[in-house]
Parts: sequence; C-alpha cells; structure tokens
Amino acid sequence: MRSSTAPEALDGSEHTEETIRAEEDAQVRAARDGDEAAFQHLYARYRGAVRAVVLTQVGWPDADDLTQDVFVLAWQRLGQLRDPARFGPWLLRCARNRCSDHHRRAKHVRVTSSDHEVRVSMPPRSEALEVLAAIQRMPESYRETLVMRLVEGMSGQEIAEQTGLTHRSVRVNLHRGFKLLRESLGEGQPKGQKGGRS
Amino acid sequence: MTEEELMRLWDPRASVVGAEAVEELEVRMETLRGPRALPPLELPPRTQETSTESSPESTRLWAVALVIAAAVLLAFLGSRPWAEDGRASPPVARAPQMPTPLAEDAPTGWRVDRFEGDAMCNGPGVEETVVRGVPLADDMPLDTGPDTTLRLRHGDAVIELHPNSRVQQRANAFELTHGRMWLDLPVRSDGAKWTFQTDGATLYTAHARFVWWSHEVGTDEVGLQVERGSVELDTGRERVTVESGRACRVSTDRAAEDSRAVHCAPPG
Repeated sequence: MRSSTAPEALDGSEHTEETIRAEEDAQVRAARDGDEAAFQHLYARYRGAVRAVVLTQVGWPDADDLTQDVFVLAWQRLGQLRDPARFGPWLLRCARNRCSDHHRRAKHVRVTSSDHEVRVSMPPRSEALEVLAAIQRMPESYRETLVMRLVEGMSGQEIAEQTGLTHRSVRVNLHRGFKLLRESLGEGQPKGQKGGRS
Repeated sequence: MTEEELMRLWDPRASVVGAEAVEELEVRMETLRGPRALPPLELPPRTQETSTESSPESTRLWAVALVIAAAVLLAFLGSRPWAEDGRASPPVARAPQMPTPLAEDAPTGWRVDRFEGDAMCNGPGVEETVVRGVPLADDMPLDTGPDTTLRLRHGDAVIELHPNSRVQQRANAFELTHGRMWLDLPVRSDGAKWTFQTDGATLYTAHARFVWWSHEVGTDEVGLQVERGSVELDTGRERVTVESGRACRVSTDRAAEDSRAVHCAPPG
C-alpha cells in the first residue's frame, strides 16, 4: 500500500498524486483495450476499497467471493467507461449494484476447498462482527468510509483517491462516523456495566 | 474527538500518542480483514458486445457523429450561464425549462429522457431503462455518478437528477435514496397528488416546482426549496406545508435532539 500523508502535508503531495493519477489513467486505458496485466494492477490497488463496500452491504461470509465477482464484472464492462479518471467511483458503483443483485438471490453457506479437503472459512471474532453490525446501522455515507479505514486499513487520502470523494468529505465522514460508532458501541455495553454515555 | 485521534483516523501509519480509541477499534476489526496474499483473479475472455474493437467503417461513422455532437455542444455552451469561478453550471444546477407536452400514448411511469456521463454498471434491466427510456421498474435503483446528469419524465412532469444521486420507483412513491433533484410537476390528469419519499420524509404535492435533497455526501439532512406551488413535507414527527419561496430542512440524525423536526428559513 502506498504511504499516505498527514492532513498538514496534503499540499506537498500534489505532484505525487498527479503522477499516480496519470499512471492509473494509462492502466485503465490499457485494460479497456484488453491488457489483462494492466487490469491486474488495478485489481491489486482497488481490491481493499471494493471489499470494504461489499462488507458494508453484504457482510463477511460472501465478501471475498463477491469481491472477485465485482472485478470480473468490471473487466467485462470496462468498455462502457468513457472517462478513465472516473474508474474508482465507477468500480465502486459496480460493487454496490452487484451487492444489490446478491441480496435478490437465495444464499447458502459457502465452503472453500483445498487439497481435496472441505474446509469452512473461519469466521471473524464476534467483537468484530458486533462493530460491523453497528457500522451497517449507520447512515450510508459513513459506512463505507469507516470500513475502508478500520478493516482495510486505507488512509484518508487513499479513500479520497479511490472513491472520488473530496478530502474534506472523507474527513467529515471519518470524523462523524467514528463519533457515531463510539456512541453506538457505548450504548451496546453489556448489562451490569456502570457508566453513562460518553 | 481529539486531534491525535483525527490524525490517526486519517493516516493509519501515523504514530501518535493519545489515539488509543482508534487503535482499539482497528484491533477489534482485524479478523474481518481479507487474506494478506492477494487472491488470484481469473479474467474471462471479453464477449463481442463488450469488446472495444471497432471496424474502420464504424470508426469513421463515430468520428462524424463526434464532430456533429461537438458542434452542438459548442452552441449549447455558448448560451449557458457561468459560475463565478469560470466553470459552467451543470445543467441540473438550473431549474428545468417548461416541459414539452407529450403525446397521450407515451409510456406511463418515470422514464429516462436524457442521460450524460459515465455508463452505469448495473444488473439486468438498468441498461435498457437508461438507453431505451422504458419506465423504471419497481425497486430498481438508478444511480448517477460524480459527472453524470440525468433527466426523467412522467408525462409532462420532469425531474433533473444531480450527480451522486440514487432514485428508485417504489410501489406507492418515487424515492430519492440520496442526492439532489429539481422537479417540475404539473397537475396530474387523474387528480392525484405526486408522492415522493426519502429516509425521514414524505413529500406530497398537487403541482409544484422545487429542488429537493436528501443525505448528500457527509450530511444527514433532508431539505427542499419551493420555487412555485406548494409541497407538504411529512417527517412523521411534523407535517408542514412549504409554500412558494420557502426553504425547509430536516435533520435525520437519530442522535440529534431535533431529529425529524422541520426548520424553515424565513421567506425572502
């Protein structure tokens, strides 16, 4: 993952951001023309963001499979994207729509197999699922940003670059979302614990 | 929230003291992370219809079409108002022009009349809705991207949808899931009221011209500004009639004390 900068240093990173954007535009154009290697680069860069969107909408059991589905779908539909600079927001829209489609279908417990053994994916710890459930109850504009940051470990700058949101919007979403999340988790404390709301 | 927590939230690699609350949540969420090694991605061959290759003849035709479109666009840009910073206002920033009455046998229901911007990657049915202008199916979300503008029609009624918006036709109402739109709604031939809904509010009007927004990026606000006519705004907590020239907003932040209370600016 690329290094990110603290908010105070944003102005100094503009040149790097422009270079990154130019490189990515070239990769999108190449992928649009059929270059699989270029698309694999985009996959590596955007997998975290797409996975965060899928986690937010669908939850963990199908997150990894659906994430792969989104990229396969995007590869097939990339010819429809006219502006390479909008690849990130376009891809995340694909992810949301794929999730909507997923909700309309009956789902079963998924198993993964390796070396002829049938294994069930280890579920995350319950505390992680509790936090994810709290995030899923929050306003839509905060959910994806929070999961991108807290689960996929993306920086605010990376979130802005890949979603098309402004730095300010991302900062607002992180600030307000985090505040709401803490309040929500504080309200959900087990009975018997003392202390009011923070 | 402390400055240290903000710095750590912005940059997970920032080494700051006093951001334990953020670090604790990161640790709690660790087991939700995907596999460290990037799973392989197998790409299928692209189908003919999604291929970007084109024959020389169709390339020439596209070139001619682009030249004509560019000429039309230049003529159009020349007549548009410019914002103070020199950028042209997007078409949806202005109120829609009076709609042209349509033939009586036009398809009923909201349908896409005009569309500019990125193609949307959706499931079955949306492409046909956008490209061919068939009426929106129930519960099918229609999204605009950051640079997309979209016009919908329902008979003589017009909606101009802003970028970063989502709408859906529901059984009993047209829903603005999030975003912003201009509406120009004449009296319905059946005498019924137009009904719109969003999280936290339902709007009713016999006829009106107004702009309406809901849960735009980073906000929990629903609001409207009426240019002509009147709109009833029902939040479940209050029901207010918003007259011409008035603007009202509602906070849907459930944690806020005034959640779902309607606040209207003074007229003028």
